[in-house]
Amino acid sequence: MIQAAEALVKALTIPDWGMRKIQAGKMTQRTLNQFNSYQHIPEVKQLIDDIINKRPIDGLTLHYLKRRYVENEKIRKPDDLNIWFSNVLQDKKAIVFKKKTGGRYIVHSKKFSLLAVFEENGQRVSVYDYPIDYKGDQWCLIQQLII
Amino acid sequence: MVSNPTIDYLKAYTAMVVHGLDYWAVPGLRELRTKAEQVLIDYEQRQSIAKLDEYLVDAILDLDDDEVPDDLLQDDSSRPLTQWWWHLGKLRAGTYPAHLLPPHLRAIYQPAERRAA
Repeated sequence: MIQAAEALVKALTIPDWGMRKIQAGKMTQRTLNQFNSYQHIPEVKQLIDDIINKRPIDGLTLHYLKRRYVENEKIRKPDDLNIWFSNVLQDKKAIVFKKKTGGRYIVHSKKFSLLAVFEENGQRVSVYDYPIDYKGDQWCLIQQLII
Repeated sequence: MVSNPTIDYLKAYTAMVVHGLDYWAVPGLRELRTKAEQVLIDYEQRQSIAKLDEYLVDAILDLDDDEVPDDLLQDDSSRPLTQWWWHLGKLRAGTYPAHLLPPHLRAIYQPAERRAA
């Protein structure tokens, strides 16, 4: 419980999405293909250069650019993702699910219809729409981890 | 606003595949896919899910990706083989019977014997 609370506090207070090194493979090619039509946009061009040159990519930037250009979502700035993430972790009624050893924490907020995933060390992994009840093994509510 | 379970399941599966798959942040993916199968109604919805299934299978078949979670590759033998999403381990290993896949997935799947050839 203490470890989970520590991870939660870190995920909430430090918006760290980690750096990803994108390896060769189909997924990388798929990512490059997805961004191909937007390579005239400087921030996308930079991302493509980083991927091709195997430089680590900031997780938040990758999330943001994919949502903004590839998925054409209504997202204005990378920090919108941080706001969504914080909303989930600040929702006292959000449900924390049982985690497997070495696994990630999963939190579902019914209020915001969002699912947030973060690592054991509090690093943010992903946040996305989840308008239905998540069917995992419920562990506790956020309010039980943060007093 | 009244929520529409069909749309909601499709939305959740879409978001999970589109935003979660790059990071393998796909908790409960197989349960969600099963539910989506049960509620899908029209042709357009089935087409949408077919595209998402392609992304998923493509990611599972990417043998250069060593971050595929082990639990996702642990097949559930109590589920029918036709529900291929419960047998992702066999798909990745190339031991899943290709003829049970829908045509759009069969097109990207390579059974083990063909990989070796």
